[in-house]
Amino acid sequence: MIDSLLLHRVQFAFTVSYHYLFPQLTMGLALLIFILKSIGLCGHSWADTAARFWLKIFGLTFLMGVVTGIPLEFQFGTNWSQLVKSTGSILGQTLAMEGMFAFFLESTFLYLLIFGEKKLGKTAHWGVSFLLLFGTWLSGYFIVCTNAFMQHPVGYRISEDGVYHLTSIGALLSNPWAIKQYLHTMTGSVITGSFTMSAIAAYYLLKGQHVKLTRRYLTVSVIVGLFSSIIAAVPTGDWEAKQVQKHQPIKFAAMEGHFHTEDGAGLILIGQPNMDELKIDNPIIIPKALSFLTHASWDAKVKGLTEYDRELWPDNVELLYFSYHIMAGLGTLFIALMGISAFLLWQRRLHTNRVILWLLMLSLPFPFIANTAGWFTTEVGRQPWVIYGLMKTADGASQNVSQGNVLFTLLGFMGLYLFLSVLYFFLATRIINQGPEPIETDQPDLATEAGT
Amino acid sequence: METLWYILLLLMISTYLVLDGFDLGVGVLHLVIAKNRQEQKQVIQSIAPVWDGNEVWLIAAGGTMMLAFPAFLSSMFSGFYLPLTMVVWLLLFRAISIELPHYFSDSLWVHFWNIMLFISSGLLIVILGAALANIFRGVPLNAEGTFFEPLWTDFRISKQTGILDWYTVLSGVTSASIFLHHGSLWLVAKTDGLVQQRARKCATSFWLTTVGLIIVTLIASYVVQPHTKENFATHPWLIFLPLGALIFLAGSLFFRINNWNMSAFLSSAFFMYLLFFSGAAALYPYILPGLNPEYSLTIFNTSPPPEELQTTLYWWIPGIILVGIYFTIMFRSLPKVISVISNQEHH
Repeated sequence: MIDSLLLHRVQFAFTVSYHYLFPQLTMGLALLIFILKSIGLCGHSWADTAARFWLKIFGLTFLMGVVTGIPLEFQFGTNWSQLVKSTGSILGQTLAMEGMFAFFLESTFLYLLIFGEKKLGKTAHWGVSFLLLFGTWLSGYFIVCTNAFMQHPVGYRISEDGVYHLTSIGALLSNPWAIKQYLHTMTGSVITGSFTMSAIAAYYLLKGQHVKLTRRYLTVSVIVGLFSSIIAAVPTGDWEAKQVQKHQPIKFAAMEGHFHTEDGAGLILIGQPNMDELKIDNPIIIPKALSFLTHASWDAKVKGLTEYDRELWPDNVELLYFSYHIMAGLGTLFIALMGISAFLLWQRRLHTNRVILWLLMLSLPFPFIANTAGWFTTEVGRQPWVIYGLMKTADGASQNVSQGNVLFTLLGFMGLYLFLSVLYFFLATRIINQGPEPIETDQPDLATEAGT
Repeated sequence: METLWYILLLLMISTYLVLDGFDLGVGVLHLVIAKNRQEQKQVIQSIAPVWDGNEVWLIAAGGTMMLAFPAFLSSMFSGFYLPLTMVVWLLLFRAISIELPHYFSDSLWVHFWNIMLFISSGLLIVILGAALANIFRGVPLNAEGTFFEPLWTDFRISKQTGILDWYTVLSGVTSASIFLHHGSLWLVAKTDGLVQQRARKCATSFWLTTVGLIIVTLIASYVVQPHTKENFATHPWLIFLPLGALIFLAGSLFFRINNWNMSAFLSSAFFMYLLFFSGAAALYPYILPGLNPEYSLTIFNTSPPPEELQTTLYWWIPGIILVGIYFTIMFRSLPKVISVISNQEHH
């Protein structure tokens, strides 16, 4: 017998994680396309050609983001109706703002960006690319704000009947939690965008196709990739970790795998949490580093999980621990890979070094994994609360929906999304195989000719 | 303040119905009206740039509903769990079947997507009508303000109602006819040549079925929802809403016969607005009537305190003005008429 609460949670986790694969790419690409359009505005026509190619990938990915985003808003009502009943007037604020300020903007200007280049002229088209960047990033802010209320509620009061009321819209929108989480999330999506761009550029270079053009945007993506990878760790990752440590100490202890309170606590790099004995198996530890990172002192005391009531532990400490370590581990690899690439670029050897090109190409999936793992860290770690410290997840679910119904729709979503994945891979591969249009100095390009 | 937000919410939902109304209608009609690939492109091209923006009205209305009437959204969405999830699936299928065909050159695939578009749009327009009819008829709410309805029972309106009964099915068919009429008027206004001629014929037939069905549905609604009588009796001026709707319905025929095609389309839009508002006026102040009237949800017992609603207005009003600007830009950037030739240039 499967618990219906678990099904509600699995369905939301599944649909939201799947959805987020697409916006993280479009938000990152929106910035890169804007950078390309800006280079193009300065008179470098290759950048316009590159932007046109990336807009095709952007358009397809954006469509997937739109169609997989609609179910999420519905699910607040269908699966989490008790949460909506209590907190809807607050969560609805940021969700409605996303619709009014961001979605309308995106839907209007995406079309103009994709089809309006000839009609609009250079400057206006560049302006549209900025508006699209603005729209996608604004949309991200409203969603992070909605989530931030659930992580760190501000600007509310609770009336006698248990309903949450908004007392300050300003506080809701300037939630300090939201600002830090937003910066970290957005750098994460810029990483995805730049890694995707460099992976596809590396693929072309390895095959010897579209060489002139892809060399140039590989340069752009490696530079952006290096910056975003560093910013994701310091300062934004650090800010976020400190914020979690301060406001959600239980989540923090669980994600670090830190079971027992210690002075001079070590940072666990690798190891498997053993929940029976409450320790980490096969650990590799940097001594005293956790104390230093959290309190800027090598001997500071760091509270362990066992300090807290077991009822309040996240129900899946292992998943939380692994998610966090996968995210942090991959983040470190990103810095290393982009650091080496940037060094080779500076030495003018990047475009011909096949080893690094292979590595760049193969690293395509990792930012997606890292961002998903980051999302899992945030959300699994918030358990057992839906509104941290105030409302249990179990109290937020719809009570009048039978588990058979939830299982049915969960299976339906899984089937549908499998179908969508196949379609997306098929179409994205087609766009990549067709490649960008040749630029004047390029050799006649067989792949492009065959594709059209 | 609750009433103001009720009207704002109704405006958003009805704008969604009017806008997505024509692209849903076109989604069904394209299979009937377009006879070859060129004509199909011409038809789809008339909605491709705007369907996404039109659908955002649904998302924005959802957000507005959540902040203004959270208890209503909570009750309705969990009560209609299965049909609403299916609506989501249909919306998803429809989005990809509008956007994906131009990636495929193979005619078999194109045909597949066209049929998907036809099915998903068709089911959506029937379901939208049936869903509104469910809310109008009332649902078996309990003291907690929740309910559960099976998809169907014996199609009669009894103690245990189903989502589909004779009244909701009738409303579904009526809404299909209205949307198809609306969609064909859009095509009449936006296309030329053979497609326009066929759209014209469609508009005539759907106008006739709409007139017949509307009269039957209005009478049925009056019978099914007893509260209607109270509101129209205490405020007789409300009768101007359904009367106005009928006048605009007549107007859509008049304008079309005189070849004022855009006016005919707009007239149909006003008809839909007024029809929707007639239903809402009949229900007011109920937002989800219970079969047991004691448990009915009203706009007053489902909304947050007025001062919260008032603060929301401060960002909502600039927001809706911006949306108005975007839509003006978007609809003005569309070509006036889409013909088969310009369509070939496009792709």
